Parts: sequence; structure tokens; C-alpha cells
Amino acid sequence: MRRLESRIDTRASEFRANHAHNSALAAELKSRQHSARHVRPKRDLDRLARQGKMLARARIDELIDPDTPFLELSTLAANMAYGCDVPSAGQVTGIGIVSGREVVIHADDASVKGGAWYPLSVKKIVRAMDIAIENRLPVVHLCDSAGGFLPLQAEFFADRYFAGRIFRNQSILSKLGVPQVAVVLGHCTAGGAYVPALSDYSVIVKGTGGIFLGGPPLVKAATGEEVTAEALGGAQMHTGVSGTADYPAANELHAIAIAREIVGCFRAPEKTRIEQAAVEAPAYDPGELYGIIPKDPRIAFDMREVLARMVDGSRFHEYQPDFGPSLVCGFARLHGYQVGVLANNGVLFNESALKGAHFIQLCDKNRTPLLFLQNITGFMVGRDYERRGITKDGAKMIMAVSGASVPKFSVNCNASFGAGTYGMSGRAFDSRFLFSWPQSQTAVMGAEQAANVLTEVKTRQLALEGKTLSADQVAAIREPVLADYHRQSSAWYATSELWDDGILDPADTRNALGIAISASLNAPIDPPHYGVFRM
Amino acid sequence: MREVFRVGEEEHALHPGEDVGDLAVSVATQGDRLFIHLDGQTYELDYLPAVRRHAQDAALSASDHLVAPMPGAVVACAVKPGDAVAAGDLLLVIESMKLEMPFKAWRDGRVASVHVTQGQTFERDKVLLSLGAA
Amino acid sequence: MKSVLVANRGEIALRILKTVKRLGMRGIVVHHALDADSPAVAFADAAIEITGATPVAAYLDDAAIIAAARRAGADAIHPGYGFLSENAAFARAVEAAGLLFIGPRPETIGLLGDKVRARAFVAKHGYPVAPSAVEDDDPPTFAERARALGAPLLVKPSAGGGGKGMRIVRDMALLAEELERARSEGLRYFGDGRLYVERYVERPRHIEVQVLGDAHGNVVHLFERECSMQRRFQKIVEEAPSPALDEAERTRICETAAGIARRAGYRNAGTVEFIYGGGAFYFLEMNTRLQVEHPVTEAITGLDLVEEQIRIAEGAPLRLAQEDLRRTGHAIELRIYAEDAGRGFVPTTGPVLMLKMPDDVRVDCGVREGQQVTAAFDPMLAKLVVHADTRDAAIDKARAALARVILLGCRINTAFLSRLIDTAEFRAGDLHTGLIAELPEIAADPAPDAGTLRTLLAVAARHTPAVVEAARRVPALHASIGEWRN
Repeated sequence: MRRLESRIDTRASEFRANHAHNSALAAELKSRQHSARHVRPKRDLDRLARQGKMLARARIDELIDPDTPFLELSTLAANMAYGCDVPSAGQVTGIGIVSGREVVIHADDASVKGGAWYPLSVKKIVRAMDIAIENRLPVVHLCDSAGGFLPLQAEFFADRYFAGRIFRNQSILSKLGVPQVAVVLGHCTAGGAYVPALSDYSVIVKGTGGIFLGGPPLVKAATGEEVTAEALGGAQMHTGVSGTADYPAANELHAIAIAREIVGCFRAPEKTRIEQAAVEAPAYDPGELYGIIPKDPRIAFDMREVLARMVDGSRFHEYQPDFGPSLVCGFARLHGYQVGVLANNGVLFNESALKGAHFIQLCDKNRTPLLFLQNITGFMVGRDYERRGITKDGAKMIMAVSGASVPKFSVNCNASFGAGTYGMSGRAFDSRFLFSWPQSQTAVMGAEQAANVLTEVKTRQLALEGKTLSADQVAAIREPVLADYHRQSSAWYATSELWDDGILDPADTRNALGIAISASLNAPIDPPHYGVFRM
Repeated sequence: MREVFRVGEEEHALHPGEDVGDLAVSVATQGDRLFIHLDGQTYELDYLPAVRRHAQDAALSASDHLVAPMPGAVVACAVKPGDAVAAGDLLLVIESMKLEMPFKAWRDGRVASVHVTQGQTFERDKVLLSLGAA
Repeated sequence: MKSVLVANRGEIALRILKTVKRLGMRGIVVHHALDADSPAVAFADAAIEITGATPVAAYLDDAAIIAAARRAGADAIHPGYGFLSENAAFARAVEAAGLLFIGPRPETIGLLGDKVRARAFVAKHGYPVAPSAVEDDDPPTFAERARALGAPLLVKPSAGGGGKGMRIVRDMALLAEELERARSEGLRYFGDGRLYVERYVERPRHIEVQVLGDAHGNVVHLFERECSMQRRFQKIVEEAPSPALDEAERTRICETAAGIARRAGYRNAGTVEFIYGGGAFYFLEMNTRLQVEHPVTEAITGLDLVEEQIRIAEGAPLRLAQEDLRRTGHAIELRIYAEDAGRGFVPTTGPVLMLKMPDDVRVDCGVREGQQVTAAFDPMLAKLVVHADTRDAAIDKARAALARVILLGCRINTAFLSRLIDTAEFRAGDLHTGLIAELPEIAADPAPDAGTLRTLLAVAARHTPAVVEAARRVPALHASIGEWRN
């Protein structure tokens, strides 16, 4: 495979300005992540210390194998919700190695509202369970939750993908033969009680762990019975009497050590084999990515320069280099795994859409996972293009994206707008993992376009009434729309709403994707089969 | 969770170490104990499996048991289970290092059990006698 | 003499068998079941199992041992040291059974083996002894007489040896209690609860003289050994010559020893022990047997003392006159004990998982790989004997050899010995029997430094299957990424 030759001049002022800009964004990301992970009110930390509890991420550090990575997902979930007061939606999820096994880890963060489940907490847990199902990954639940946040119950209780989905997904995992371990490190009340109960194995810490359908206050209110938490649903009761939990543990570390032993007893997965080669570091420094993403998101850049700083040896076999050039397609390797890359180098035309649909099918037949690097403003519009069937060709690409059996991975590098989002395997298209870069935007259209469309609609309405708008009046309509759009199309908002699996520092993308691809291979890959392509 | 070894009295977590290559070391293992001879010194290390390390051993509370400080033999047993003893009363005499050593009650109490008999030899850390409440 | 039974175990049994076999005789050894895997048993032409209420008792069962000797067709019994080596009744029984006892005449053992009688004998002949009180002289006033000597006192069982049952009393209030304890130990070890006390000399040196006497009244000395390096009254480092003596003193002390042996009509190899301090010395006791530390003398004289013992027992006259005996260089013996110097020298036990000894120095070793070190016997496992031109060179050689002693599975004292002989005090030859107690800082093995610790942990990890397996199970990709967080 040929090595990509970078055309970037790293001494150019443009590169340096971009570098400064994107480095600052990466630093902002790290700083926001740090706050979401570690900054808590003192009283919450004091309370946990009093209870002898470790923080959720410290528990995870103990749970996973030493000197192995933990790919934390959606750290900034809920960062723009609930008054910015529920960092990470009170949940830690991610992929780590426990006793040599790749597992999904789901941990309630009791330092956030006592680990209460908010609507986005539920969404995050459901997503983690979906990841476990799609990739056949065992799950370790570190349970320590006060239960659902009742004032918002309408937003997390009853609907299809609300809290019940957690337990449904747990049951499906078990049915698929994918084991789960619950470590009960705090209380699991009401619905939360089903997390350990539906896990194949459960460990419970003496003293602090508790499982009850109804906690002591509820029992008192319901029947007048007065009972302590330990007697009602403590370790001794559940491991010795009810059989709801399996292993009593003397303390948190003991519980985690037991959980590690349990995971160590799981059957080793027979991972799906795909094309693989010896790992080679990129020939170009991934840190140069900061200088490649333009400071102004509207300025185009060559995705090959991104690939050169992400894939093994900066090597890339480009498919149809001269046809539909706005969609760069080709083969590369990431941590040794061969992937089929689809990367945007401009708007999608008919040719690019056809090329994409074709290349996806090639990869599917070849059992090669797909990597979508998004920087897409959409499909080309206009009379000519409609006449040439741009919608029909876009539909082919969407059909191919939806139907592909191989695992898909998406990174929103800069922009993901409109139908381009669909063609490039946006959230709705079940990429196994979808990450964003800090500057990226996601929306039905660009903020400027949207504001223009809205003011245009308003101006036309008024024109029908024979009125015209002054420049000030236009601005008064346009500015709030623009502001709202900017806010809601930002990566911070997308990740807050769990439209992605987290924002990545561009320099971390290679490792994150390596871990993601490896995780995906725990699941078998179906033979290729598709719906009907509109020809 | 890092692997932990006890070296001497201290526990040390295993961190990614230097490549020790073909160092001139001699190693022997017995269960979870390792004997390593390095540069003229022999070190004893104990591998501490995490589950065991973190389990609180509720069975043995130091204040209730007389634990042999060294291997030896029981010369005389001055008490039997059920006997009430006062602090300073003679419990056992052991012989080790060609010396007799008396063990006296470290508090008032009642002898819960005597785990050895006269003439019996024992290894270090053997629980010789347990004292219950007075 | 065609066949010798060794009534002992460990390194000394092997050492005696080596000479026996070198001289073309059959070497037989008795052994308790615990010693079935010992090198002596493996080396012997025949090995006969003996039993006892305790393992030690087996080696004290004179009747069983004599029966074994007869059954095996032995002509002679070599008792080694300890056990029955200084038991006059045993010597008598051996001779009564028509076998040769490779040792002194029973009556000599009776005289010199009893410390009280031996002291009286030596004093009677004008040799120096320490102020003392003997229980037997007048039992009712013993405690009073002991008290009158003043602190510090050394309490000893009359029938004792090898440091067993000895106790120092510095606080007279504890005298009665210590006397009782010593009596009990004496009874148990020697079947004799009689005691005597003597003035304990602070900072004394222990210097002893090796003698040989034949059945024809000839006695020679084989120079002195300095054995001041002791813990718990037991020697752990011995050397010859003593760095304390000038030639005049050496001659004086050696001739005193030879004189005592001659007066006693001594036959066999024997050792006259002296306490030496402030330029004066006095008789301590005489050991009527081969000593643990005899190889030091062998190193400087070139003799094989066991061979000399056998020749003497056969009735041959001494081969060498005093003026023919020469000594060369400096020899040091280091006793390798299964013990934990850092915990008050308590004995240690464990399996001998790996055993490697240096091959360029003399090693008398009583254990082999696969054997178990138990609490049943004395914890001395082996002896290292180095010989060099000078004392300093011998020390260096000893340290190099100690570093190459590898015994894994049971803690031994080699690192301690190496530190001990490298102290300024030892290097200077400034020794006394309490020196080790005054050097608590060298007792415990120092904790490994950070670099050593890293190496140890890395080695340990590589040899711990659970750790190796855990690392093996980590997927290569994740191992290569390492501790990474996004």
C-alpha cells in the first residue's frame, strides 16, 4: 500500500494559526472532561469518603487490567442539560479490559446527585447496553444509584428507549450468551434493583451494598414495617437468603477483585477475523491534525491529510481516484485492521454517491469494516442534479450504508449536515461507534443557511402581505435563529444529547478507533444482504 | 487492578518494569511465594492474589490468639480449654533455639482452645492458643 | 577397621563418610526418616533407618544405633559432634559391643564431659579457671553462692554443651527463675539437671585449641581457633589463627591446652576452650570430640582430622610431632544456618527448592535440593571454609563465596554473615562474643533499593503464572496502547 505524501507546510502561518486554534479546542475539551469527571461539590466527596466509597472512575481504574486503555464514552453527556449540574449524566460508560476480556463498563457515579438516573442517564445506559449487544461485549455494572430522578420521570420511564430498555437489553444480552457481572457498591433501589438481578453474576459489598425493590422509607410508608437497609437488602441477606446476589464482598476492592475473577472465567471470545497486518505508526505526526483542520469550519481541506495522520504507515490504497473525487474512498489500516474509508472532500454529487454506494458493497463483500470521516454539508442541490437523480443516487448510498453488514465507524471531523449525515452513516445508521471532533457541527443544515432560509420564509410571508422588512428587522429575526443554531449544532450540544459516543481530541482518534474496531470483532458479521437499490 | 507482591513487610504494586533480560538471577517458587537470588542476596516475595488480599480475614483477630513467633516445640501446657486466666498467668512453654520460652496471658480471659499438645512441634505463625472473654 | 558407622546426620555425617570412604573403608550411616533424602544417606554405602519418639531422640538411641552397627557389620562407630559424641555411657556400650568408638576413652569423657569435674581437674593442675559456684558442692547453698559471685553470671548445665541451656543473668532478681529454666533444659537435653554458674566476662573472646592425643600418651596441639563470633552462645564464624594473639600468647595458650590434654591422658581429637580477655585466658571446657569448626584447622595445617581420629582409634601413634606441625595462611569458616538474623536469629524452615554452592572453596553441606528443612533438628545446614594468605584476603574470598551460595526455599544467614565479616570491627579483628549483639543494624537484610525492587518485581512477575497469564490475556492492541485515557 502506498504512503500518502503530505502537501502540508507545517511552517506556514495558516497551519500555525489552525494549530493554535485546534490545540486550544483540544485543551478546552480536556478541561471540560476533567470537570465532568473529577470536579464535585465538597459535600458529595465528603459523603462518599464517610461511606468508605471510591469514586466511580477510581473504581473503574481498579476494575480494568493494569496498563491497559479505557475508552470512556460520552463523558460530556448532559453537559448542556439540567443547568449543567449533572456531569456525564451521572454515569460512566466505556470499553476496557478486565481479566484480558474486552468489556463494556457501566458505572453509576454516586458523586453526582447520589447516582440518580436523569433522562440522559437512562439514554447513556441504554446506549452502553446497545453497544454491548451490537458488539457482543460482556458488561460489568458498578451499581451505586439513588434511583430515578422522579421530577423528570415522564422523560425517562415509559417510552420504548427509556429505563425499561436497560432491563430489556440486559435480558437480551443474557439470551445472546453475553455475560454480565453487577458489582453492588451502593444501593440499587426500585428499577435499579433489576440491574444486579438481571446480571448473570453479582457481587455485593457488605455494609454499603443494598438491593431492594422498595427501600426502607418506601416500605415504612407502604406497610408500616420498620427495617434497616442491611436487613432489608444487604449483602448477607441477598447472598445467604434471597439468592438475589451471588458473592458477598468485604469491601469495594474485594468486590472488584471478585468481579475480575468472574470475568476471567468467561469463555474467551472467538473474534471475527478480518484482514490484518502488522501495526505501523502513522508516518506523519497525529499532532499535526491540529494544523490541518481549518480554523474557519467553512474552509475545505483534504481528508487525505487527515488519513496520513491517522492510519498505519500513512498508507492508503485509493479506490477510483479520478471518479467522484468529492468522496475519497479506499483501503487503509488502523492498528493493523484493514478498513474501508469513506471521507468527504466536498459536497456529494451523483458520482460521489454512486462511488460510495459501490465501495460500501465492495467492503461488505470483502468483510472490511467501514470508516466514515465526515465533513459533509450535504448532497448537491439544484435543477440539474435533481434531473440527474441526485436524490435517487443519494438513496442508493443510504441503502448501502444501512444495509452493510460489516461494522461501521463514524467520525464527525468537521461537519455533518442534512442528508449528508445519512449518507455518511450518521447516528441513525447504527455505526458501532460515532465520535466527534471538538469543532464539528451537526445539523439539518448549516447555521448560516438555516438562518437565511428562515429569514427568506419570513420575508416572503410579509411580502405577500405587502410588507417589507428593514435591515434591523431582518437582523432581529436572523440573529436569534443563528445563535440557537450555533448552539444546537455544536459538538458540545451533540454530545450532551448523546448523538455521539463522545468528543475526541483528534490526536486520540487513532487509538479510540483501534479499540472500537477490536471491540466490534467480538460480534459475528452477517453475510452481505441489501434492500432494493433504486436504479 | 495491579498485581501486588509483598517484599519483606511491604506490599508493592507491579508497574510496567524495565526489561530485565537475561539477568543473573536464580528463582524458585513455592505456591505464591518466590525466592529470588540477586547480587548475592536472597529475597522472599509473596504474590498476593487480589481477592485474597482484599478479603478481610475476620476469622483471626490478633487480640484473641497466641501465634507462634518462630518454629519450635511445646514443652509444657499450663492451661486447658475453659480455664480462667489472669493477665500474666503462664499459658504455655515452648522450646525453640535451644531455649525455653514461657508465654503468659496477655489479658484476663478464659482459654477458648489450645491448638497444640505437649511435645508437638509447630511452624512459625501457628496459632497455639486462643483466649476468649473472661 | 574396615567399616565405620556414622552415628550422626547432616553435614558432619557426610564429611566423616567422605574420609571413611577415601580411606577405603565402608561408610554406613544411620538416619531418621526426615533425613532419608539427605546427602549423607545418598553418599553412604549403607544407610539404616532409626526411629525415636522425636527425630532427635532417634539419634540419641544408643542401643538402636549399636544394634544397627552390628547388623551392618561395622567395626567402629564415629559419633560426630552433638548427639552421643560426648556420652561416656555410649562410648562404653560401643566398646562393650565389641566395636571401636572413634573418640576418647569413656572415662576421659566422664571426666572432661562433666564441666564441673573438668574445671576441678584443670584447676588442680594449676591451669587458670574462672570464679564459679558448683551446685553439687553443696546444693542447699548453691543459689547463695551463685549470688555471691555477683552479676553478670553465666548459668550452665553441668552436663551441657553447644550453648544449650546457657543463660546470662545480669539482674540477680531473676536468678532463681533462670536457674529453674536452665535446670529444666539441662534435664531435657542431657538428662541431667545439675547446674553451675561462673562469672561472666564481658566482651570476652572465645579462643580454643585443637589437640590430638594418641593411645600412647602423645599429645600435640594443632594451633588455636578464634570463635568469638557468636549469637545465642553459638558460634557462627570461626577462624584460625586468632587475630588477637601474638606468637608468645599463642604458644602459651596452645601449650596450656596440650598440657591439659596430656594430664588427662587424652586420646582422640579434642578441643580445649578458653575465655580470653585483657591478655588473660582461663579454661572454659574441653570438648572431647570433633568440633563443628574443625575444618578451619584442617585448612591451615593440611591435615584430615577425621583420618587422624580413625588412626588414633586404631591404636596408631601420632604421625607428627609438635615441631613438625606448621600452619599456613588464614582460614575462616562460616556456618550457614537456616535462620532469620533480622528476627533474633530464629530458626527458619522450608523446602530446599534450589541449592547452588561455590565450587572453589570448601563446602561441607548437609542438605540437598528437594529436602525439607524442619524445626526437628539443629538449623545449621552447611559450612563454608575459605583459606587465603592473609586474613583480609580470606574475608574477601569468604564474601565472594557467600554471595554465590544460593539456597532458595528457606531463609539462610549468608547475607548476614557477609555483612558481619565486612564490619570495621571484624575487619580489624576486634572481636568478642557479644559483638553481634552490639551490631543490631546489620542483623536484618536491608530493604532492596528502588532499582533492585523494580528488578525483583519484574522477575517475580515473570515467574508467577497468574501474572504471566493475566498479561498474556490482554489483547495485543490494548497492551500496545497501554494506560491510555481519552
